[in-house]
Amino acid sequence: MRREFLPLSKKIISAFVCLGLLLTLLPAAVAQARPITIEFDGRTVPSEVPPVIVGTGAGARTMVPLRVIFETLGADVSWEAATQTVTGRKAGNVISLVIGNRSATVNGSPRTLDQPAQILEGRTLVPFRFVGEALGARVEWDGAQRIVRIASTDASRRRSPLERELRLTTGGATFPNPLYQRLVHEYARITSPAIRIDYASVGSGAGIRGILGGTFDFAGTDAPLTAEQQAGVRPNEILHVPAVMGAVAVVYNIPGAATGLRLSPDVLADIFLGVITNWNDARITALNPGVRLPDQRITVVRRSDSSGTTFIFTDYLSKISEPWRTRVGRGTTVSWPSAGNIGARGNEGVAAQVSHLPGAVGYVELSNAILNRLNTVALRNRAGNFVGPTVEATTAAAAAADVGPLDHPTNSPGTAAYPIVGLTWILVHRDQADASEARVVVDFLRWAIVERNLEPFAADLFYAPLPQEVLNRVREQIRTINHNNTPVWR
Amino acid sequence: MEQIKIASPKRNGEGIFPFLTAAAAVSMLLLVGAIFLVVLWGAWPALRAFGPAFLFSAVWNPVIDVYGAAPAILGTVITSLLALALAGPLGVGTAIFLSELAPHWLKKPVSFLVELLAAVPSVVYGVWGIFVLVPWMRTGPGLFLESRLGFLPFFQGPSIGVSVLTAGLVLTIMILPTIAAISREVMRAVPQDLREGLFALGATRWEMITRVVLPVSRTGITGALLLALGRAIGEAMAVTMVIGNANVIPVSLLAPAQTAASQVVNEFPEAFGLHLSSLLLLGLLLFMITLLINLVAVWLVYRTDQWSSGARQPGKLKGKGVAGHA
Repeated sequence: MRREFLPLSKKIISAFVCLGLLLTLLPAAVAQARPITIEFDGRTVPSEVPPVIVGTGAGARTMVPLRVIFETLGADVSWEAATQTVTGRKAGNVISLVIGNRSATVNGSPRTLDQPAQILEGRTLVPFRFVGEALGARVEWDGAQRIVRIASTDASRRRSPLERELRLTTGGATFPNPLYQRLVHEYARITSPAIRIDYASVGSGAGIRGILGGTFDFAGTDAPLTAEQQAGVRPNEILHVPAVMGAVAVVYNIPGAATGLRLSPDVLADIFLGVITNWNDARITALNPGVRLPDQRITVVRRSDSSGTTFIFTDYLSKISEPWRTRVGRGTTVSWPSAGNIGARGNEGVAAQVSHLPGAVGYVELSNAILNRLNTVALRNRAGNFVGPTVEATTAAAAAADVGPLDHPTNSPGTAAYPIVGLTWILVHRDQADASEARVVVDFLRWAIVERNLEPFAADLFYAPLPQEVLNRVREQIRTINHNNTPVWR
Repeated sequence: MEQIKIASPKRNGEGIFPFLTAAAAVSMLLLVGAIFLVVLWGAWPALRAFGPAFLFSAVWNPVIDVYGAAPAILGTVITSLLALALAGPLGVGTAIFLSELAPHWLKKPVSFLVELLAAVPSVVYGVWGIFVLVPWMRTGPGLFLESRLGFLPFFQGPSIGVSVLTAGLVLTIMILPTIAAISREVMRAVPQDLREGLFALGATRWEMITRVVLPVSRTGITGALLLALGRAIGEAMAVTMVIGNANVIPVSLLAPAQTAASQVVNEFPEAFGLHLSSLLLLGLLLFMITLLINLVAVWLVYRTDQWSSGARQPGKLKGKGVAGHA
């Protein structure tokens, strides 16, 4: 295991921050001024020029001085002035970067960079994650402490929180299931072979029953515990750790009107309430001046099985429509009000019905809309912009969300936010009964969420990564997990 | 001495075998009893909260925790009876053909195919239903019924493919092999000399079938129909995929509805509290209905078996007008 900052040093830093606050009354300046440091296998690497962050938002990348990262990793560097090309070699891996150019090559195959290598104040800076990973190291960014952590592969290959054989049984929500299956598979590859985690895709309700009843070591859920469910456990004993986010896309099948349908929240609610029953309704055409909408009856297709997707969708409708809130409400299963609505089983079932049935409108998890090539609705968000469901608009929604940690960030006020997005949580006991299990649970959560190892898999499956603010909260949550009042993550 | 040695293991076997079979039979009884008790225990909160009103209320709303089973129970009854009405004549007809009329070379392959239908998993029927039957029903028969008979409440449109009728058709195909295979077996159990006796008196094949085979195997066929009905009532997955799962009291055959089994399979994974209890109560109702039907079916098939296993009771046939059987 890699070494961590001692709590003492954290206290010292906070003391300095407080001092700075008192002296200058400029808190922002203090936080910004803290330089980024580099750690290699737990040691701090000296660097004349500190790493810098280039770019903004999701495209932001940490750039490090070329010499620092190549030397740290023990790679040979060569420089070709004529083509402005940097080439690094280490243990059979060859990587080439051209200054100011987004294209690079790794072992002969071309790659595209988010940020090109560049010269800043006389130093050549390269994107550290790209270089580190191309040369076979593991690279992590700790946003809270502003530390770049690089681990040589040999040391990090086997994270072994435990020596003896251990099998964790977990399960729950179906919505993030494809992601969790990839994660436990990937974790099994990098951890000790004696450790195995199984995730059963049995639904959020069964997941909650599983963790309360003691059959699951942790559980996935799309809906937080209700007051009724919390009644049986001590306050704050079950932690809700956010894992990823997802968007719920409104999909439609209107013969003749191919793409680009725009809807406002009240119109969407009235369609699902059964108030608006035809696609050529004046309220729909008013929002879509360029689109030819036929005289076609609307058929609402919704989930027949209890589902977190339904919960997120009805949570949004309850927020934006008073009639929906009072007549229907929110839940994993609700009593659907529109006449002739069809219940289909699973996201796949809704997608199949919508694509076959002319006039149908339904809601599916974003990946199903994309993979089935369904038309999605651009919804007017709280800022007044029409935004379609994308991964970026989902993260934007959480970054700007104004709800509590146990609420879905639906109807977010962000200008680029897509309004129907939800979190999915991992439920875990704060007070762990078994020391070995606790170590594996904490190591897995830390590896997957805090160290952001789930993000590449999440992107493949169209889940959105958590914004930094939420990740900082997750870190603190995981730190509270303890065995006999001793924190597990030390 | 030697004789005793040979005899004693034989006596042991005689003693152990009945004991083993009795234990197997008793464990089955215990298992059914245990399932019943566990489901009853889980359903108890809902039973106490709603009482008999559970059967008659059409509201099923997990948000406000109010539950009624009328749409689900009616949906189950209508789809199952529809399937039975369609599959019954078809299955019995197939059985008559296979047992009495088919040429020898055709009997084996057709019987094999019928039994193969029974072995197809229900989810396969469901997927076939979604991708083939539902689009066809929407544009073909559904549209036809809607335009010609739409003035009747039972065929009120719009035809959207998923419907009570579609679910009934999928169930028809699913229960057909049960009816056909069991009916054929009970018809084959009709003593050959009864048939020959009637032919000897100059009866035609039609007379032989209607006056001997069908009357004699009547109880067995009824048993087959009831077993099939039991399967139709309990089928969840295939029905869920084609019925539309709308919680409404089914009036039009072209409208979506739901059955008790489909509701349980849909909502069980996320349910808790009173919602879970109500689903279990729905399961309990299904359990009692299917148990009752199976008991009746088993009893009827048992009666036919007794008749065919050598107990030739000529007296019984006299009443049916078949005289002179020696």
